[in-house]
Amino acid sequence: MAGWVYRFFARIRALFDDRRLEADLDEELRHHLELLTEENEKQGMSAKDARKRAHITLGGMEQLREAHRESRSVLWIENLWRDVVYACRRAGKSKRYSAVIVSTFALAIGLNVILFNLFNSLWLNPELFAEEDRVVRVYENFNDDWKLSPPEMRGTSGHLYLERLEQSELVSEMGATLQVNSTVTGDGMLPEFVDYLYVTPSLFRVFNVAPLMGRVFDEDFAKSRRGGIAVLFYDYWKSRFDGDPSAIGTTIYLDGRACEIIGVMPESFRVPEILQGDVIGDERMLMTPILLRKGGSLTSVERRYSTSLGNFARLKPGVTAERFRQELALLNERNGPLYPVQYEKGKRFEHRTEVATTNQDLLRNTRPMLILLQGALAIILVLGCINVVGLVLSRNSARKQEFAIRLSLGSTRRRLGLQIVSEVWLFGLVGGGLGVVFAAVGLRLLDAAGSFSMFVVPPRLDIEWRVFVYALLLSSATGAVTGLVSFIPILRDKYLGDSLEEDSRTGSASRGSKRFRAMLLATQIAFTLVLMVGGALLLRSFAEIVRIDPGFDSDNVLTGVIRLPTNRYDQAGTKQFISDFEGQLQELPGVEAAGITNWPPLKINAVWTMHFVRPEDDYLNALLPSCAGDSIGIHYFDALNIKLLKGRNFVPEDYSEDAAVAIIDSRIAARHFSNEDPIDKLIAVPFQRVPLNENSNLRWLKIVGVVEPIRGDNLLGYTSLDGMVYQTYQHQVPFWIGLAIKAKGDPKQLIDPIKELLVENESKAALALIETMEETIERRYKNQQTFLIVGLVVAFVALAISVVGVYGMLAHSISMQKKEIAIRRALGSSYSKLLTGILGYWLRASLVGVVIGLVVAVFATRYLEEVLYGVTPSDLVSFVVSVALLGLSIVASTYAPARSAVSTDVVADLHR
Amino acid sequence: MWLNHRNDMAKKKLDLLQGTLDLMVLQTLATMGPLHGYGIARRIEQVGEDVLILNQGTIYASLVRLQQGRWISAEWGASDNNRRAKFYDITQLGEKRLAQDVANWEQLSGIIDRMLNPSSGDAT
Repeated sequence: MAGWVYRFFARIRALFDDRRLEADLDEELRHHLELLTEENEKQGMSAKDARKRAHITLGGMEQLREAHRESRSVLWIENLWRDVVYACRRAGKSKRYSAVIVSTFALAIGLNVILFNLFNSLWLNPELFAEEDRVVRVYENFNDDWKLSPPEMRGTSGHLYLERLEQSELVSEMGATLQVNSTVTGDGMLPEFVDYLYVTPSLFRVFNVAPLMGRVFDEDFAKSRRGGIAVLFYDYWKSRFDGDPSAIGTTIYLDGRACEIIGVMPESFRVPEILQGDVIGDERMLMTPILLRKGGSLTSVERRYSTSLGNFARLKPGVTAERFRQELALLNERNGPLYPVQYEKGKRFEHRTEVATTNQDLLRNTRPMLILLQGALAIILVLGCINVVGLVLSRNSARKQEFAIRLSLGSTRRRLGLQIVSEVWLFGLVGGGLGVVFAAVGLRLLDAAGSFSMFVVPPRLDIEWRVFVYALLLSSATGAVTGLVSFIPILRDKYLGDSLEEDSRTGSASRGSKRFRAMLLATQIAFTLVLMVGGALLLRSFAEIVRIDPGFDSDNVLTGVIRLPTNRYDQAGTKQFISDFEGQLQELPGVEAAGITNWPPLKINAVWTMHFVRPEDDYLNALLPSCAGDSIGIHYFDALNIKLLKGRNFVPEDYSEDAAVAIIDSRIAARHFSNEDPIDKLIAVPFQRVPLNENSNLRWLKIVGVVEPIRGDNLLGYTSLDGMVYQTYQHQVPFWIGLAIKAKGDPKQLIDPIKELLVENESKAALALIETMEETIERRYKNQQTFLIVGLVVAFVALAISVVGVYGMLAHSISMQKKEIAIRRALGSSYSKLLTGILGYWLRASLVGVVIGLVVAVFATRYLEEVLYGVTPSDLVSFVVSVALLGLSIVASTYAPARSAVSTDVVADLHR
Repeated sequence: MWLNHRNDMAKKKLDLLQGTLDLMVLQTLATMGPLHGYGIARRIEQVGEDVLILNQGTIYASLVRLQQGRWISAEWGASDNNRRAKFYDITQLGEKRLAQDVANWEQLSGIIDRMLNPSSGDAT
């Protein structure tokens, strides 16, 4: 046993002592030869014969050396090293060849490394997923028509939360959040708008995250301070307080309520967002305590089936999300019937409780994009590899004679193969190294271009060790596989050993290698086609998006949102403020129409939901249809140029106390007044979806006008809401005051005057989210745009790589047939017959590729469905255009080399 | 194990000879004392009486193998004609292995003998 180990290490040692051992052996062999020669001479041979005889007795020097190496060392490592050294030397000699291969690898691997870096930042980030599968979010899913938000972005109710807190046996901690907003003021601060979270103190125990600075709160601390404390999110601390540690201890006022800042959370801490109408920004800024107890308004049994609270739970060790979900289903089944009234209501729609893991929460928006990219980049890598195989093949056919000589000198095919493989492998490694550099630069460029804004967590830009390992493995595997594939024709080439004569015998490349090339060509074309179809679909989809008419005119419109501190303004005060402010705005120089709205269209991904009732409807205890609502000022339709179809616009009298009027859009008209004129009909639009009873106090509004529908929340489609009902701000007081102001010139010039106006009238109002309508639309397109750009870049790179590759492979393959062509021409074949023969063969191979590509594309493009707009994944135009474009470039790259092969000088070719 | 596997794969032609060659080299060194490669090869040929045809060079692979197993030692010295030559000598470990191999060999050749000449085996 010990001997075995010792011998093993002796062999390993020999690897490092190679030069000396080799020299020793040579000296011994030389000495041996001399002695043999002397002896032969003594026996009377001539000096020449003696030496010849001695060589025979001793054996072939090269074989002896090889046998010696094999005995003393770990041969494959040693060979590999030799091959690598040899490959380096060769690569240095043919610089252009090496550069093309290395840069192909660098590009393909670099793109994949960039993608992996994104995965690494999101999927594999230990900070984000330390609690994966332990911390989950609970949300209620109703089988109803309220499709305003995706169900997985909803929350749960306070009543259900308390019930589960009491009864669940699988959770160790449970916490709840409530998203709200208010104006924040402080010493020396301009009023500002903040979205923030009320959180139960238990939330910090659920997430088990220590603050970066200061402290968080528990129940006792929160009680002792009467809730007047706040913990800042990292980003807000950075932007609002410049990351100054002295922020801790300062006091801010949320709608006038004093809160002392007691801590700052670490950068990685995020509370997954739930969608709820009360929040307009896309970032939470701070957390302040809330204590949920029975009988509060948030936890009342009446609101048992509302979804306004975020609910997070830490599961006991070993409990899976699925088991927890089953427990919740059981609890629902058991407890639902205990609350007959609410349960009856609940029964109208199927109630399910779902559990989402952190992973699902963080990645839900970007997953389709990343998966698509992964597919596309994998294809690019394959295309790059095929190109390299093509290059290596043409290179190797030029080296055929070298191989043949080496085979006849006693080398084996396996040795030759290993050498080719290690050569390509080396290129792969170098390419991978450059790819990492490429990725590092690319990531920064992409970041500078703002392409990462769609990610919940900004990806890291620096290349981390895991990415290095990935790059190493990927380039190593890529190089090795590419090398192996390019070795196949040599393995299969029966005549290689004779190829010193091959050319003269057959005048053509061996049939096997030609077929192999045809196969490569078909593969390459198939993959390219898949990417091109994908790119075409994205492009078509984007064209559709750009054509969308939002239903309003966005030219010269400035939008923004104002929020009044609730401690200073009651309902009457708010109405008064709006009315005054509307007048002041309209008077500002440069303003054409000062539109007041609840919130400007498209600003956020939501609308204000209401429910629709007509007096003649049997609405008691019925599930009411929903609609969107808005409270507007008198100039709103003018500001956005929303067209009046019927009736009239609001007039000043409509803003008096006793007026009760509404304007509907044509979608409401079509849905609820299909056969009649809606003007002068009565409707009511209650907020609550609670079924009405005899005591419900409905305010009936008279319809005075019908306008064109607008896309209020979502450019890419109306929500399933049935349309919009507009009221005056006098009768439905908005929580926020949205501005949509049509300017006479550049709308941005209005920003400062509006701010001054707010300061002048000492409103303490906070102005936020100011941008032009153009900017809003651009922002809302951004994800689609990023998608499109990425998709097109990928498709273009693929097409470029593949055209270069196809051309190279065809040019080379056809030039290999030159001698054959020359012979055939000499034997009298006609020019056109030869040309069609050659073209025919390669075009047939391409056709096979196109057919395979089409089949694959039909299946692959289904994954695009989620991100396409206005086109189906099987869109015929995209397929036809892609095939035509690819077909053209194939014909072009076949025709030129074929022509030149056929028309060259016969005699010259035969003599070559 | 994979080391042996390698050798099997690469050296099929020498399979039978390999073990025997090592044995012959060890035996030669045990009886003759320190020798250089040429001397070992000559001695094996002499004993083989030209029936055993040997590419003399093959003993070098055997020598390095034995050396790595610490069965023989090697040292540079001066040969008869005053040139630098590597001299090999058997080690204690080598003698132990030789004894073992000889015993094995005798046992094995006995078995093969009896298999090839069953009648003579029965008679004795």
